[in-house]
Amino acid sequence: MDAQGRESFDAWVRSCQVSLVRSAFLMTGDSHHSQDLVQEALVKVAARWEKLRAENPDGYARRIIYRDHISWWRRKLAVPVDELPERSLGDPSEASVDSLVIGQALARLTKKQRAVLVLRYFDDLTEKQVAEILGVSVGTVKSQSSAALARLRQVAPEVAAFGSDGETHD
Amino acid sequence: MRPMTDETQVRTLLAEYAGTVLVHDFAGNAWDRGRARRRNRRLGGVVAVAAATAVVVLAYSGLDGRLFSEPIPPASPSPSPSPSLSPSPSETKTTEAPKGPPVFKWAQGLPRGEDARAAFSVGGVLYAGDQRLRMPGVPRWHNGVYASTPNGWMISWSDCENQARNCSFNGLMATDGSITTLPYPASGARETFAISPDYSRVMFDRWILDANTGEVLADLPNNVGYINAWTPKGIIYFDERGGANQQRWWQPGSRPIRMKGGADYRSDGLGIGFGGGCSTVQRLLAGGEVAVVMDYCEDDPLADLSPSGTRAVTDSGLIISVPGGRELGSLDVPDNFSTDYYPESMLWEDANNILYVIPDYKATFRSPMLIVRCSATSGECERASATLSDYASFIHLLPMDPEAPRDGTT
Repeated sequence: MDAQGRESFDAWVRSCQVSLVRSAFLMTGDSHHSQDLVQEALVKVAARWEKLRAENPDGYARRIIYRDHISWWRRKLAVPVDELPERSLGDPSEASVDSLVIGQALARLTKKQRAVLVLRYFDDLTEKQVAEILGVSVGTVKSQSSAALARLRQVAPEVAAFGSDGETHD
Repeated sequence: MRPMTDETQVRTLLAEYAGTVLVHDFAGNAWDRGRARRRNRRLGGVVAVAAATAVVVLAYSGLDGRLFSEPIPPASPSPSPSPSLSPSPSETKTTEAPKGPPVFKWAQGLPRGEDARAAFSVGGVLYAGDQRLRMPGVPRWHNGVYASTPNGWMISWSDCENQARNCSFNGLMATDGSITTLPYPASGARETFAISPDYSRVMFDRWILDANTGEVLADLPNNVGYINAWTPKGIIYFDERGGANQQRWWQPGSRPIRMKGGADYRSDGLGIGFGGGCSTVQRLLAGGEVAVVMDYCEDDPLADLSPSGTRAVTDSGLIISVPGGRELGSLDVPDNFSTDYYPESMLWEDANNILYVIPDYKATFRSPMLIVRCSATSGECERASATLSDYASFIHLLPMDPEAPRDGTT
């Protein structure tokens, strides 16, 4: 990577790093692991920067983060990474009750459901973009999203009102 | 406590929760990490051992150029600090290497078997057994085959070089390659096709059409959103209005019913859903009701059902009886194989064989892919295609002959 490439890479990193770390945090529930995942993804993006800079480095980075997270989790099945460590939340007194509830609720979703929710509702990606990042069909994105929202209603009674818009529609 | 009443509130809560994480500045660091990694590779195993026992320093340059560090106690007792090495946090914390070879490399090393008996499109070409048919549109952009019909396939394509304007189409491709373009959907061509159980009608967005001629049979007042399946017991779709994305059951002529939870259904009304930490095999009943055939609550969730629905394969390749939940065997795949991670698409080719699309994730853009066939009885796997290449991130496998019974176990 030449100086110009590095400059553009650094600019891209600064533009997206907050979003990437926060997405990774929502997927993993672990602040340290999310930093690791993002750093690993950035290394991989850097290695392909000359090609990626003209395409979609954000999407590529998110795909790497998701896949590395799943890969890491599969190697570490004995480690209950789904349980949110308290340190992730910092001082609980500073975190809103809503954040605590959503954090605990997210921890009880499957990894794919959590990823779908994060990419769809936090990163504001389209369903097709989410499908491409996760390597699944748009239908799977929809079904996982629907299941995730239903699961949130189930595990977090405080948020039970979500999505209850009646049994039928015209 | 605020109740979440709409999608906006989910976004707000996610954003609030995400805001509790501290974000370091990575700029200027990732590239250094890359150089450090290459240097470590050259030094080989000695460095790897030293790195594993080194005091870890997480170093991030701040936006203002500050450097701060966070020491992490070593996992092993009394390590010798190595000030010259600052291995990455993940390299040190992850002491266990992935088991088995990379999945694509494993697939490349398999013996070559017969070509997959499946229909799929890749690189602008529709493959269906021995047939090769040129797809319309621009290969680089969205085009694909989404369902098999007795006379061919339902396809979708774009014919413009960019997506700045709506130039997407849905159509029917016959086995001789001829194409019937379906009426232009307002929302563009998408994976929203469904075909009726008798193959006479197709449905997408707000249209119900004759599957052979493309004639419009019904123009519905609303776009029904994404259609999951058209079963003898009704149509399952996702209502996208207001971003609700709720799964609904609808029998034409009746009022749609919102279903509990969500599941992937297929045209015979069987589906796999997830909830409560379990994957469930479900059967659609009349009126949109659902019967749970089996709960499977292992860490390795169910990925797909056999054509008869009497067996299922899990993400990692275990064959499970349905509804008994008994482990019948496992596919001879690498330990790091998972439909949740590696294979992009899968299909029960017949009663005893499962096809997987396995891409090379090291590549970008035109990704090389292989189709692999694994026997659900012996577990043995073989290559079922030459190396394929496409711009799309995955290809969708469809049964060659949707009408033929594909599972002798019923």
